[in-house]
Amino acid sequence: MTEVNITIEDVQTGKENTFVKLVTIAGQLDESNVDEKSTMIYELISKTPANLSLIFNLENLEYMNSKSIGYLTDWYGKISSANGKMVIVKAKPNVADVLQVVGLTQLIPIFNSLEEAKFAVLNDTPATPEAPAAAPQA
Amino acid sequence: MESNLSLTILCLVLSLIPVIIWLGLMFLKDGINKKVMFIIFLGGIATVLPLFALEYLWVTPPEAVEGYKQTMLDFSSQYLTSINFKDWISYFTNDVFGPAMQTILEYGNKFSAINFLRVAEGSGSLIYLLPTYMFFAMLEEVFKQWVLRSADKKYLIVKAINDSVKYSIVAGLGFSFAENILYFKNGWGTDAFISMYIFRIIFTSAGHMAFSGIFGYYYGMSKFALTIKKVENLSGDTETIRKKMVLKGLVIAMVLHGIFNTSVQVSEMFKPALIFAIFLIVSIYIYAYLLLKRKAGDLVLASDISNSESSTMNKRNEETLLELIDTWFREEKYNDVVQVCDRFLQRDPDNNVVKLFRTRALDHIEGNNPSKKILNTILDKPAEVKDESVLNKYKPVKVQKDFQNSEEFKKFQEQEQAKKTEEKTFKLDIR
Repeated sequence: MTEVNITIEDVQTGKENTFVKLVTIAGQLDESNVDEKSTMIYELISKTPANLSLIFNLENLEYMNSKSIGYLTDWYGKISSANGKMVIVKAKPNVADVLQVVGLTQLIPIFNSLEEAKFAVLNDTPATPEAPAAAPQA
Repeated sequence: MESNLSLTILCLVLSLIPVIIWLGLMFLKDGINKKVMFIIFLGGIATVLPLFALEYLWVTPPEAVEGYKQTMLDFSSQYLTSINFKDWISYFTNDVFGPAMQTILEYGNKFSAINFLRVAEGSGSLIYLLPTYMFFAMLEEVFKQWVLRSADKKYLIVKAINDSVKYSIVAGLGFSFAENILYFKNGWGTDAFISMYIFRIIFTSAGHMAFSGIFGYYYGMSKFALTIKKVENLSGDTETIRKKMVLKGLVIAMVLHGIFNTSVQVSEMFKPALIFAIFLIVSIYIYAYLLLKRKAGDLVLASDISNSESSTMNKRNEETLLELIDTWFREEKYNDVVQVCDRFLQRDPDNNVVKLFRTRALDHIEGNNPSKKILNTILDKPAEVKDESVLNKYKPVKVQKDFQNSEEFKKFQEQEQAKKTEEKTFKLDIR
């Protein structure tokens, strides 16, 4: 079994009713571990039914197999339909390459730094008026 | 003699009419190499000769041997001068050729068409009869497939599955052309000539084309076994899959042809069998026609290696992506498959596996599956296209991307830096 480590941290948003989690995946996601490890993310999503955004830190992820890309797409579907956003930070070139060909980078952008990712998750695109309502006092 | 020649020419013209009509119907719009097509057509004609020779042996009564022997002996006494040679000929005729031919004809007769009459009279056995028609039908398929295979070896004409189908059909047409000439000549002047003519130019010709078409389809598949193996997740080595596919095509063509021939023969005693034969041909023909309409069949898979562009994708990523494409294809996410394949092909333009996945997904999106199309026509339902794609389902992100130089982001960055410093100071304080 190949090693993969997933850690989930809270990200302070300073906004009410907006939840951002930093998911760090390190190692290799392959057939031997992807089903087991993906349940962590599914649990996380089901615990926070709305306004949950995820930042994936893939700095130390060496490889993603096809199944994990399928899961990623599925999570994106769940998160975005519950008013959340999903971004990736610091993906290795080969991982970024696969995601680009699949077309996921159009849905889940990749940023070079955590600050950029946080900023992107917390700030709505100004041009879209129907963007999800941010917390009232923000 | 002269009337015999003019009858042959007349029958040749009569047989040529359906060939021109069929070729016009099939290939008017499509590009096909005319020279190779002509050679294959001739090849199809040539395969009739050994079969008719065999059939001749089959139906000739053993008594005919005496006549042959007499002709040979007459010939030698009339034209040969050398006594030794004459002796040898007479030895050969009486002791070798005569008995051998006698045996062949006797055995041939056991399974021959003469038995058909005995069955009709109730004195023969059906067990001998049916295998004969099956056997000849099968032999015809074996010869026809040989034409396509040798032509492809020499001219490398099969570059896509549909090429194989088209050229194989041409071989079948050549065969039925030659066969028709002989049948028309034999049937000329009989009452049944017109009905036989119409039946042969429509159904028998279509039958030969359809049976050959089926073989051609499988031959085409076998040529691209490596690609098809990857797309269909087949196990086993490529060579075995290739052989299996050729054999499968041949067996299907042989069996269908055998059923067709047998039912045509049986119809002489039992009329409804003819309706079955017609139904069989029409349905196979429609199926083969729809098969040719599929995009996947037109996909050029045999490309020139010298023109191929190299891939800019690493091997492991390629495998990952192919797995994903395969999974999504089976989950019926056809639009997603097409999108991923398009991007994949930008990076690796000559990847046949990806090309085939892409066209197959397109065929699904456009409802080009022959069986479904036929079923939907019968049930009078519009073609139902199932698609479970996800990439299109979600709107492109509402996440900002180009903010790195904005004032807001700089401010945010400063705040974050400040927080970090705070944390550090805090940690230091605890210590």
